[in-house]
Amino acid sequence: MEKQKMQENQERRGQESKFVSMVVYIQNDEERILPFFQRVLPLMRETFEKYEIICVNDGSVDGSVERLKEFFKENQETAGGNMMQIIHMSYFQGVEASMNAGRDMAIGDFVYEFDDICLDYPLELIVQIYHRLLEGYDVVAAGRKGGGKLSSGLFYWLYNMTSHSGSKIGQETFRILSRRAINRVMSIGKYIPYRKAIYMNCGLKTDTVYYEGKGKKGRKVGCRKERTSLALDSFIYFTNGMEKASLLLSGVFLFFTLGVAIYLACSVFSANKPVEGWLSTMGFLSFGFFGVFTLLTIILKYLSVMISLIFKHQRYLVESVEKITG
Amino acid sequence: MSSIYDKIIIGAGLYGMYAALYCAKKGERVLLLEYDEAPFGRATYINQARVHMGYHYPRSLSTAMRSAGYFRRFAEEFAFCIHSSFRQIYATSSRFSWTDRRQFESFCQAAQIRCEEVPVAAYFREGMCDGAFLTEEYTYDALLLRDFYLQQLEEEKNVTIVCHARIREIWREGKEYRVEMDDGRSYATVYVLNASYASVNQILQLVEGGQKPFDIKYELCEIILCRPSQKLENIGITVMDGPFFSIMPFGKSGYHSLTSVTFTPHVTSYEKLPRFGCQKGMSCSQMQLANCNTCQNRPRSAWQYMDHLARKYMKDEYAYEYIKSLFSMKPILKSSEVDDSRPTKIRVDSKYPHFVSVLSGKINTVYDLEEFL
Repeated sequence: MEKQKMQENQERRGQESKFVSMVVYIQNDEERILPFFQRVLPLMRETFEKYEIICVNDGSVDGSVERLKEFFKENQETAGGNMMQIIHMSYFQGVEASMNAGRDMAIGDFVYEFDDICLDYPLELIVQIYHRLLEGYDVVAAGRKGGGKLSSGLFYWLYNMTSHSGSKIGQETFRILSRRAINRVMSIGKYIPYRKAIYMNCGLKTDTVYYEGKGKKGRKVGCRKERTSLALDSFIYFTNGMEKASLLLSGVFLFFTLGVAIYLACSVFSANKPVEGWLSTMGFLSFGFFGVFTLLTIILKYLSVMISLIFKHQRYLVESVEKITG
Repeated sequence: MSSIYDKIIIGAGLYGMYAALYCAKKGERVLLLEYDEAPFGRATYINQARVHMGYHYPRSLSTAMRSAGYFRRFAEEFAFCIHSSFRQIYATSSRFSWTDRRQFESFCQAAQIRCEEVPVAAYFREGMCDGAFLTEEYTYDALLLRDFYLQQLEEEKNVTIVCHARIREIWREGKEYRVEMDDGRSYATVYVLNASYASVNQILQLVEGGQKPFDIKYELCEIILCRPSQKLENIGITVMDGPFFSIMPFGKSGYHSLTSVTFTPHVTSYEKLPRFGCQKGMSCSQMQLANCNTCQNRPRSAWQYMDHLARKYMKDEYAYEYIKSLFSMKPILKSSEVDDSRPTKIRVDSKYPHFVSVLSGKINTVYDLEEFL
């Protein structure tokens, strides 16, 4: 039923003449490679006249690469002479670094990023976000409604609260970018620690299309540690949460110092004397803490400037790029 | 009864023609055998037409120095076919490059070749390249070169060119090699020069007993000719050092050649004798490669891919439009993949009588031949 509707749509529309790149993250995905490409490849072929597929192999230790090569060698005819490349990362570097490498390699007018090859959405969503993009957006993401982990929800909530940018981020399964968005992102900085945030910060029009997920989301457990540290990093990179917290603390101590000063002034004129030395000790302590936290705020500010300098370094290592031909 | 020659040269590309003229000037009788209907039909014509100064080999100083050494000599001796009045820009890509701006600069210094830094923003989109350099490199016009050789060789009474030559077998008889043709003719000589480039191993197979083949892989390559916009007309651009592209004047033709490391090779064969899917049903086989450029089974052009790659880097004002594609077979020595060097291999398999094979991917190292002739 779904498929039929899609075919009808395409017949009406004809093939899209735009050149599209598809960047796919592969990390020990042996079992899921075939189901994914068997469904997505025909769709790409029907929808786009010219496309390329770039798989980023992030240090897979199972048979992922062999499966991939086999599949594409067998499907050369089906791929219609379209290009397929594999980027082999030197070692496991995580989805962000790997996908950065993949996107940098892509040459299309539009670039799809599949962070995960789990197909928990209707296939036509892939074409749908492309059409949404053509309506005048530069980044369109497909996000799953609900079903995420509690920790992820908390992260996005906190992030959106403290982020500099107006656009909110959330759970995304895959997205499409225009060349303009990529150019913009490139000119912001060379190093992109967290793509989602940078894309939303690039100042162009962005949108998210939500879908009701089928079954469980496919993110693997092995990546959890890496994602947690990335979440922390992203807070530091893209929000001023730390700075704000430090500023708040120095404010509290300033308030406290003032309080002590007032109390001290009052006690000089009143008959009710507290214990000898208490006031001066408290006054010194709170003033001291105020000073420490003010310094900390200044230091954090400096650090954030340094972070933006570090952005200018290339941060992934590629072992080789392999082109698959029949 | 067979005719006797001082040298039999197989393959009428630049190397074959150069050797023929060189020997004729020494007063030798030379026979030049060519499989196609005319000389210069394959790799000598179908390549980037670059007269290498060495910039291409930032990871192999030896190859670079060698090309640079011959550059002046070639540019002077063949001045009539050299196009030198354009700005050749080399740039290092910010990503995926094996060499960065500083490394490229110090490499050029070591090789003592010209390299002036120019603003990246003048040619490339923001963030795409980390360095751009004005260099000195030329392009040659293969058709002018061919006409020059045809004219020169015509004047030499001692040189015979046989086109549409079909060699059946080569065997050794005492102090001579005999070359027998399909049409029954046979020639004798004391010196065979195998200058057939992509067919070098097939010729070696024709020698009685079989000679050890070169360890090569084969790539079927596409060169795209485009018409440059006015702004691009006098500029050549090469982005280094990895899966990138080059767009530069194609001799004096007025066209630019567009090539890319990823998309120029269409199919690859790793066998000693090349086997390709497109050979089926054609007069082309592992034992004898036909001309890929005139073949009906040519692959579909990778124009869109190369175009998108170049567009991703270059600013929009450097425009160009598609004219046509040229295809040829390129043999690559397997030993040279790591450092990306392109050594000129000259192998002497036998002496008295001589059997010499040459394999070179660069036009200006043709002088290497001299000491062997």
